[in-house]
Order: sequence, then structure tokens, then C-alpha cells
Amino acid sequence: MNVLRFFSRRLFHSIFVFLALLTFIFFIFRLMPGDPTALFISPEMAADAIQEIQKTFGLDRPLYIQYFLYVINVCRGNFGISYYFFEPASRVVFEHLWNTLVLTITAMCLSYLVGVLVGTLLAWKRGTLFELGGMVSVLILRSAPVFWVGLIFLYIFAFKLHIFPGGSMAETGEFYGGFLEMVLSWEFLHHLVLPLVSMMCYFSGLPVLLTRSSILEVIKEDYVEMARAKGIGARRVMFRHVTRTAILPVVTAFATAIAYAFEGSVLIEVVFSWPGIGRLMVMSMLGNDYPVAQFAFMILAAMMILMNLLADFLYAYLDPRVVVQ
Amino acid sequence: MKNFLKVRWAGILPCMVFVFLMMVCTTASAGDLPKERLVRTLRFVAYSPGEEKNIAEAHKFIAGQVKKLGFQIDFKPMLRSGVLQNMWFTRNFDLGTLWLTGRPTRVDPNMILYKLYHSEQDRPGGYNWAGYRNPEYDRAVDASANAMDQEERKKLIWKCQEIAARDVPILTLVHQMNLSPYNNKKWAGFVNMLGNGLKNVWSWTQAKPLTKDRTLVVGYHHDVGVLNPLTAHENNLMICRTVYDTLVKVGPDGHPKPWLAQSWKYLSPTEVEFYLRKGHKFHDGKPVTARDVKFTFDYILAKKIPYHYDACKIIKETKVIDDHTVRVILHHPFAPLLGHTGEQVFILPEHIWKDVPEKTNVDKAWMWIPTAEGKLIGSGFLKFAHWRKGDEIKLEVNKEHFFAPEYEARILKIVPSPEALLGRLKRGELHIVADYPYDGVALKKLCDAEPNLSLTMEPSVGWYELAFNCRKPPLDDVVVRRAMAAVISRDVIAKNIWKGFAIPAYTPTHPMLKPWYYPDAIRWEKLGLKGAKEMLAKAGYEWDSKGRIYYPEGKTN
Amino acid sequence: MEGNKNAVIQTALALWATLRLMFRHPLAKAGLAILIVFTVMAVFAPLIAPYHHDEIISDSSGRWLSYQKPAAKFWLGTTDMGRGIFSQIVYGARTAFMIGLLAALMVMVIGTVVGLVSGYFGGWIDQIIMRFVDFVYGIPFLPFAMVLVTVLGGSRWNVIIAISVLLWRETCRVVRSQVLSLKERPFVEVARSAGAGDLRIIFVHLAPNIYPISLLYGVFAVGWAILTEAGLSFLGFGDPNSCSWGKMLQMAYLSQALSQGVWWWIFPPGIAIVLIVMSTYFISQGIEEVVNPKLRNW
Repeated sequence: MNVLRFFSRRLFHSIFVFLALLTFIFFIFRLMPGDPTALFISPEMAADAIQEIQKTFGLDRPLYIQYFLYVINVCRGNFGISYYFFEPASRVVFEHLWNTLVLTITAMCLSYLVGVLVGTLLAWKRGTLFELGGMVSVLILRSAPVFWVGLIFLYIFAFKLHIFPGGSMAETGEFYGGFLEMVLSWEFLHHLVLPLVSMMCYFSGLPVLLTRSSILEVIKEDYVEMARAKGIGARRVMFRHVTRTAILPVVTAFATAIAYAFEGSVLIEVVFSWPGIGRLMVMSMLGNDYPVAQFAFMILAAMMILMNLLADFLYAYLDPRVVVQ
Repeated sequence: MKNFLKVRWAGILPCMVFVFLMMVCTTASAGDLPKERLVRTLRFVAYSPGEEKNIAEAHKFIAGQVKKLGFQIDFKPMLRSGVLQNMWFTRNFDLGTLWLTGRPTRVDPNMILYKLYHSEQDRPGGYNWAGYRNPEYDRAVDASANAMDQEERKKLIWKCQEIAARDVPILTLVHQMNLSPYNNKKWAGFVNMLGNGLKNVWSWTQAKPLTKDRTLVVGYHHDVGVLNPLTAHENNLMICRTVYDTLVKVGPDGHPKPWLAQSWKYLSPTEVEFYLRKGHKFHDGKPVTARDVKFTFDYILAKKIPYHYDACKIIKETKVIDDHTVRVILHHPFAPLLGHTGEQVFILPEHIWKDVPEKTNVDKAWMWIPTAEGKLIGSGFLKFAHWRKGDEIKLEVNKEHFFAPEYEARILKIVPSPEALLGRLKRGELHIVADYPYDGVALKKLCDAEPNLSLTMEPSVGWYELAFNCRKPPLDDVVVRRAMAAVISRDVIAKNIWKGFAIPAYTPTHPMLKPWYYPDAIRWEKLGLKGAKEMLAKAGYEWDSKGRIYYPEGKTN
Repeated sequence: MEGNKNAVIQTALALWATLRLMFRHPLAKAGLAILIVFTVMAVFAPLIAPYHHDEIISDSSGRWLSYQKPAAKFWLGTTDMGRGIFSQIVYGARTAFMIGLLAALMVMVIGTVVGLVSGYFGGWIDQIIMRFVDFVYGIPFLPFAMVLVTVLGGSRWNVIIAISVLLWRETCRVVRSQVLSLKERPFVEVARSAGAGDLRIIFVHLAPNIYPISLLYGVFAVGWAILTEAGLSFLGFGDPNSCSWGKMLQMAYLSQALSQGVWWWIFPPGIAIVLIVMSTYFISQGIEEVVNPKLRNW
């Protein structure tokens, strides 16, 4: 009963937070400078045409009416029409969202996999030069701006060595049968490697450090001493008993990290021209396409809340003490 | 403790008095000129380098130069959206740039000379963002539009440019180079058009494949927004110019050539008949007739389509004489009819557009998405095949077109990153980049190093300018504008900032555009800093000991 | 009066002890050394840099000396418009420090205070504050910074605000959980029974135990702030008038330095960022051993 109450309370809170975010999003995007009609300006146009455009996009109404319409529209699932594409903003954003998800989720899963392994290794080699070297390398990678790493990789592997393509997502003229077919094709994977590795360089840092420190904490616990006393080999102790418990904070960090990864992907997407939601946001903000920027922002916020919620649930599931609080 | 403080105060007081006296002296010596005459700080609406690196750099340079004259500058770099807000909507600027890109419709000088300088355009939403009002100029440019005689028109257009250079409400800075790198081992036959480079219909129709690869892959740096012949987006126009026909097309030398209209005849200065090609069809098989032409003009006027309205408002009436003859009656004689209206207005299929937007799900015709319903049907030499958002647009050759190209299909590939663009060009994945917008130095290096890449450079018919807001002092004084023009060396800008990938623009028309180019436009930069200061001094401007400039007697902000 | 003076002295001593413990770690020492180098660079920038960061270097004929390779005359070469890259790196240290330190300070102060108040008072104050923190957690960091800079305009201060406004949430959460566990400790009970008011308990008794973790996140914040500013500048949302390493990378990218092989423009700014952020991580390693004694090797 306690557990159920806890879950439903957290869910309720998250919904409330999301609603507050929707209002917040509306207002900050209304404060953006520049009129979207600027997109259409051209000396070939007539003057009253500009007023026409403003009327069409409902920009000539007072702010509170705009907000009212906004709330109603959001409830109906209508998130505005893109000023640039003339399509529903939601459609534009979702098309790009899948591209980001493929990149981000793959990068995070691999980062955490590799990170946990390396972190365990470092904890295993505690006190040696290897550990120190490993720690320093990890810290260096975490200190490097992720877009700079991307630029360097691009320079070396795409432009100097010609091993990988210089950006974008797929090849010329190929018409894939669908999203799944594209994702599983060699060309796609070929294009995926550099952005993926760039992201991994940065995001593996946290799981390595977390795993290592978590293991170091657990290793000093009593039950590990007990296991050693029982005569169980050191390696078995490490990988069966210690890692299982130490993994706890890493798993919860994973859930929150995915949320952060979305915004980290903004920089990578721009460098590699990956048509994802991050790059879409940057371009639509620079180009005054507010409905798209707004909806992209909304989606990112929703993912953050969802991931935080998931992280909370996960943590509660793994460590029931939290529920009681 | 207390004694210590007393001693301290004894020392502090004279120090304070001394400092106070110094302050009084310095301000007094600067105040030998009345404060009301001090020229206010000028608002320079500049660009962030992220938008357009070269013009941002040019702005920095210009600000530095203008400061040498004693003007105080509030330098505000911002994104294009902010620039438009300040220069276009609120006119809240003193110096700024809203450049013009090169397009076929801008080859005829009327567009630029009328829109940017005529006082009628100095209104909300007008294109005279400098706020220049000169009745002498207005008369000249109006007369030039009405002059049907080439020689007379030339005289008037030269006069307009002469006045513009004299009064310098806008200082045209440089014509940027249109850069078009292409793969010479795979393709040949591209045509260089005046002011537009290789990005023109003549290239697309005359390109020949040299290998077995019969699909032309064109690189473009922008995502295409919407494909609709009634909207003004630049990359949309690139597609629509090939999918739709117009009556005429501006030729590589800058003069109109027959296209859909095989020939035309002026029955009177206000009546012209177009004779359309026979047997031409739309992509869905329906014939192209005079009725479609009439429908197009009427439709645009009736629905007030924003992008095309100005081109069509000269038309009083369109008459269908027979299936292939259209008579267009104008309100008054209009010399740029062919170069502007004829080149710009896409001939729409009546059978599709008569239901738009009434029977569609949008409010306005220019918001409709024809591709969603497979209705991007024109009569042009390329047919719409598919559009993968953010990736590519494929067009197939319409073999029945009168200028049908030799190849099979053309793909517009969207590659937003400059590195990727260059890389793909090098590897042969892209055959031509029609309008390379980034750094010319990197491109030239690549093309020089690769024997299979050629580079065409053509000064654009558009330009970057420095606009002065002539509505308020001090820039309402032509002497001030001339002085500023005198310290801005266009040569330095073209050579160092654009690194030779732009040529100085001494007048708004293109230097190769005969007969409209006016070679004798006054170049104020010959005066230099010294001459500029002399000019200002002669007009009564003065400087204080700090070097700040003051109005002449009787003038104020 | 006396009591407060005592409290201040005690706090100062606690901080000093923490710092000393912090820098026993060899990595922390290394980090400090790097930081000192950059500090000197930042403070004495006009003396160290041969040119101003915006100054265009031209030759005798007036031609701007663009894309010069590193040579005796220009230690790290020049940019596309003929600006000295070494000079830009030196001046960039100023921006990095300004943004890093100010943002970190704001993050520390806001996060600690909010965490302390929320954790100590509990009840509905805690609930409201935590709901607000949840709200702040839901805002995507980089996109929001982009929006804020667009709305407020591109200046260094707005970048700092944009970064600080969201970054404090981590610190707050951590401080709060620390306070929650400390709240029930005996020394708090003792202070309360001695008649100490809430504020006194918070700032005099609880706070000194929070400082290490506060400082830890403050140090992290310096690194995050510098990385975020680099990212924002690279995307074009930075301060156009200032010189920052992120902006240098943006200009290099826009000028296509990569494809032209202008390595002397691409590597130095990135390396500078790596060094300075790394030094903060190294220093934080020292603090972490203070915070979590289990991690101490000695």
C-alpha cells in the first residue's frame, strides 16, 4: 500500500510539474525577439502581405488570448504549425526525434556498458599506476567539450583518412523501405560511428567514476568481508557480490543520464549535421520557427520529467527504504 | 584608535579635494563645446559572426573606421531575427545591413532601384529601410519604369544611380561571389549566368553527363522549408523554378529570353501579347494553355498572394485570345515587365489550383503543401519525384519539355555542415554545389588541389550594403553620410574580409550588366579620413578635446 | 557578540582545514598548479598577450595577415582575419574564469541555501521547494540556456545567468539529503536545547558540515559552467563581444579550419578548455576524499 501511494504521489507530482512547464514554455517563447514573418520577407512582396501573414499565425492577438488558445490547443494535441514547413510542429519534431533517439540511446547504452566494465577494472586495480592512469584519462575525456572531440574525430577519420563519412545520416539516392530498414543498413551504421564514438567519449566518464567509487564503498562493507572469510575467491567476490550492489547508483544514474544525453546530443548533431531534434531546435531558434522550437523544447522537458520519474521508481524499487521517507 | 583616525582624516580630505578639482578640470576642458550639440551615440545593428561571418567582420571594421571621425557607436551584434526586428519592423537603428541575395528577378535594375530608394517605400513594411526621400530620384525611377525605349531608359537608370551615389543613403559595399564548385569529370555544360553563377535554369537544362551516372546530385546547405510555388523561401524557389515554367527566363547575359512564351509583341506601350509554345503539357498530361496563364495572374491578384502580388499588380487585365495567345493589359507602361513579372510568376495549372485553398485543409493558398497530395504539378523541365525531409529532394527529367535536359534525374542533397559539403564534393558524392555559402578560401584550396573539381566564381547581382537611417540626425545630413562613406574602403573589405571572394560594389547594379551599369558613380572613399574630416569641418562640425564630434551651430539631436 | 565572532572563526578554521586536507592528494596539487598558471594568464593578460584579442595584424602594405602558421612572430599563428591566436587564448582565460567562478559562486550559494532551508525546515516548506526543484529538473539545460540568451540578448552576464539558473539543482538536492541525515544528530539537539534559534542552527552548526560537499559541487560547477559556455558560444548563443575559447572554436568551425588543415586554430582552444576543466576535476578529487573518507587511501 505504501509503495502504491508513493508511486501515485510521484506520478501526480510529475504531471503537475509538466503542466507548470507548459505555461513556462509558452511565456519564454513569447518573449523571443524577432517576428516570424521575417522568414517571408523578400523585396518581391507587397506590404500588406506581411499583415496577412501575421493574422494567419494569430500573432496580432493580445497575449492572454494567445495563452488561452495555446492551452486549448495543447489539450487537443495541436502544437501549432511550423512557420517554415507549414506542417504541424508535432510532425516535424517527431520525424527528427527518432533520429536523435537512435543516436542517443545507443550511445548511452554503450557508454554505460563500457563504463561499468572499465570502472570495475579500475576499482579492481586499486592503488596501482594503471588505476591512476585510467582515472586521469577518464577525467581528460570528461573535460573535453563533446563538440570539440567530434571535430577532432571528423578531422582525422573523415577528412584526413577518409574512413568515415563527413556527417549527415544516410547516403545519396537510397530510398529505404522504412525507418527500421534504414537503421539496420550498413550506410546508416557507417554514418553512425563517428557521432556515436564522440558521444561515448564524454558520457562514459560518469559511469566509470561512479562504478569505481561505488565498488570501493561496497568493498569495505561487512558482507564482503564475510564472503572473503568464507573462502570465496577474490574475483568471484568482485563480480558476483560486489558489483551487484555497487551497480545500484549506476543504474539510477543511467536513467537520469539519458535525459541529459538528449541535450548533449545537440552539440554532436550540429557538428555532424545529424538531423535530430537537437539540431532542429538550434536551427528553428535561429530561424524564428517558434512553434517547432517550442514543441521540441516541450518534448525534451517531457523526456526529462519522464526519466527523472523512472529514475525515482527504479531507485525505490531497488532500495525500498526510500519509499518510507 | 581615535587619534589614528583623526590623523587619517586629515590626510584624506585634501586628497578628495584634489581629486574633485581634477575631475572638474577634465570635464571642464571637454566641455568647451555646448552639450546640446554633442552628437548622440549611434546605434549600429550588426551581425553575430554565426550568421554571416564576413559581414559581421565588416561591421567591426566599419565601426572602427566611423569612430575615427569622432562618432560614438553602440555596437550591437545580433542574429538576423534581431536585425530584422530592428531594421525592418521598428526602424530602430542608425547603421545596419539587410543584404540582398542574387536572383534572376533582381537582374533588371528596377527592382532594386525602385524598392530601396523610392520614398513611397518608406512606410511600415516597405523596402526603403534607409528612409530616403528625394522627389528628384522618385521622378527618375518612375520614369525609367515607364520608358519603353532602351536608350531613354538607360539615361534614366544612370541618373538614378548618379543621385544615389551622390546622396549615399545606402552605401553598397560588395558584390559577394557566387561560388559554384562542380565535378568536371562527371559533368559538363553548366552555364554561367550574370550575377547568379551556375545556379540557373540554363545550367540545369544544358548540363551533360560525362559518365554512366545520369543523376545530377546538387548539394545545398539549407533544409527546404516548404515546396509551394507561391512562397518566397529561397530554396523553395530553386525547386519551383525547375518544376514550373514562367513566360520568360532571364538569360545568361541578363536579358529576358523566350521560355513558355515563344515570342511576344507589344501592341501598345500598355498591351503585350504572348504567344505560347504549342503542344506543351503539364506533368499530369493536361495541356498548358493561355487559360492557365490568365488563371495564374487573376488568381494571384484576387487572392493577394504575398510573394507574387507586387509582380502582378501592374496587370490590369489578362485576356485569352486563343489557346496559345494571351494578351496582358497593364495599368501603365512597365519596362521591367519581362525581367520581373515574366521571370518570376510560375504558371499554375488551373485544374489543380482552382480548388485551392477552398477545398483544402488550409486557410491560405500559400500555406498549402502540394507535395503531401502529390499535386506539385507544373510544366517545367523537372518533375517532382520525392522529398525526404532534411535529406534530399529528387526531381526527374520531363522528357517532353522543350528544353529537356540530357540526364535522367536531379537530386538536391541537403548537407548543412560546410565540412561535410566539402568532403562529399571531394569524394564525388556531390556533383555540384550550386551556391556555396561558406568560406571561399577553403573551397578554392580544395578545387585547386583536386583536378576533377572546377570552381566558377561570379559576382552576385545582389550585394551587402551599409544602410544609414536618414530619418533622424545626424544621418539626415548628407555630409555626415558622405564622410562616413569616405572612411570605409570597399577595397579593403573585399580584399581582406572576403579575401577576394567579393568585388567592391560602387553602385547598386552589377558591373557586367550592360547597359544598366553606371561606371561613373562617385566614390567618396577617394577622400579618405583627412578629406572626410575636412568635409565635416567645412559644414560646421566640430570636435572637442576628447575627439568627440559636435553638430554645427544651430543643429542638435 | 562573542558567540558570533567565535562562530565566524570556527567556520574559517573549518574551511581552512578542509582546504589543507583537500590539497594533500597529488592530483589536487596538479590541478591547483594548472589553475594557477591560468590565473596568472587571466590576471596579467594585457602584459602576456602580444596583441589585443580583437586586433588585426597587418603587414606594411596593409594586408591582413590571415592564416599564418605558428612562428616566432605569432606563437600560435593567426586566425582567418589575422588575429593572434595565442593572444586570444590568453584573453580567453579571463572569460573562462569570469564565467566559471561567477556561475559556480551563484550555484554554490543558491544551491546550498535552498538545500539547507528545505532540508532543515521540512514540512510544507520542503514540499514546495522540492516541487520547484522538480520543475527546474524538468527544464532541459542547454536548450533553456539557448532560449534565455536569445531572449535576454547575448552578453556574458546573460550567459552566466542562463547557466546558474539551472545548475544549482544538483547542489540543492545533495545538500538537502545531507542536511536530512545530519538533522537528527545529537549536536543539533544539544544546540536547540541550549536555546539556539533556527537560523543559528542552520548557519552556525549545520553549515560547516555542509561546506565540503558544497565546495565539491562548486568546484564541479566551475568545470560545467566553462563547458556549457563553450557549447553555447559554439552554437552561436554566446557573447559576441567577448573572447572565449568556445567562441574561438565557433569561428574556426565557421571558417572551416578543419578542411583547410588550420590545426593551430582548432587544437589550442580545446586543449585550454580540457586543461582548465581537468584541473577542477583534479581538485575535486581532493575534496571527494574529504567528503567521503572511505575513499581515502592514506
